[in-house]
Amino acid sequence: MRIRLVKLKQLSGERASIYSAIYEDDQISLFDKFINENINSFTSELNDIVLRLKTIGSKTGAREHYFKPHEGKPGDGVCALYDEPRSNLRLYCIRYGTTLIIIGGGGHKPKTIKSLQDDPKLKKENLIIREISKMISEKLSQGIISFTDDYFDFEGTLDLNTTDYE
Amino acid sequence: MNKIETYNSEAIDSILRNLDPKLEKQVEFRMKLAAKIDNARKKLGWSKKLLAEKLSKRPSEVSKWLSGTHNFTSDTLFEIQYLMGVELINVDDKPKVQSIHFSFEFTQKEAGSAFNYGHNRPFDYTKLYSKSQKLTFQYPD
Repeated sequence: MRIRLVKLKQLSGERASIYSAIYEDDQISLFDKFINENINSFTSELNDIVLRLKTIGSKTGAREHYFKPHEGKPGDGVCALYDEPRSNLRLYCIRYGTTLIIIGGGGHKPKTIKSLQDDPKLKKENLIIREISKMISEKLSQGIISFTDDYFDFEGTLDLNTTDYE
Repeated sequence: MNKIETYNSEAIDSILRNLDPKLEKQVEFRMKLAAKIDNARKKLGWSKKLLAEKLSKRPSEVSKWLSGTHNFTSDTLFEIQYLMGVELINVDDKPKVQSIHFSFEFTQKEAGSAFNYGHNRPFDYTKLYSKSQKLTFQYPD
């Protein structure tokens, strides 16, 4: 399954670039899907997430303490935007320092399970973002993609071949 | 080199269009406050765990404070600023007076052309001025 990285115009700014990804058969990004899936049930929480991401892009940068680390394998940068235990939504990301993040999808955090990984939807979204991180790491090591000098953007071929989790 | 593809999200646009600008400022305020506390923590060389211990809080509570989502009480802000020596809220009416003392030295070079003053003698001389001055600024003025 091919997926390409895109820079989100409304959220990127002077302090950080915010990317998402689009599957080749889709018209919208993973983050847009996350919005569409949750806008009716968790409107205010979603508004807060969008505003936090916009603030990260334009005012503060992607400081480490705004995220929950270690949501993937050691060193792969997979994290989640901070969410309280009692909050309803989980959004998975990959953080590359304070200047570049990729936001994927996520979903509703069920209260009845012990680990979020036990929820099929969250598990799938977590695997997708892990896979994207893995592909980017490989392409970075192969020199197919690289960071710009200011570390705000990627350069190179931003089309990735990933496992199909759909 | 491939050009970065910029994506214009209608879903994000729709959310941002309908939000109260005050809410945007509130989110920004919370996130900047968290950043200020974290900067102070780093400056003191404290881990998040140590900060939690010093305030008799759980590490998860400190993580929440630093997440940029927390709605602090004034007592908690006072505790943090008292412990860390950083000003998070300023409740004083009096303006803050800051005195800055400095001295400076400069060289002034003046040069004229041969045609100045209608004679053929060009002038090019350098004068050295030295002064020392004390200035006091009041903020806000």
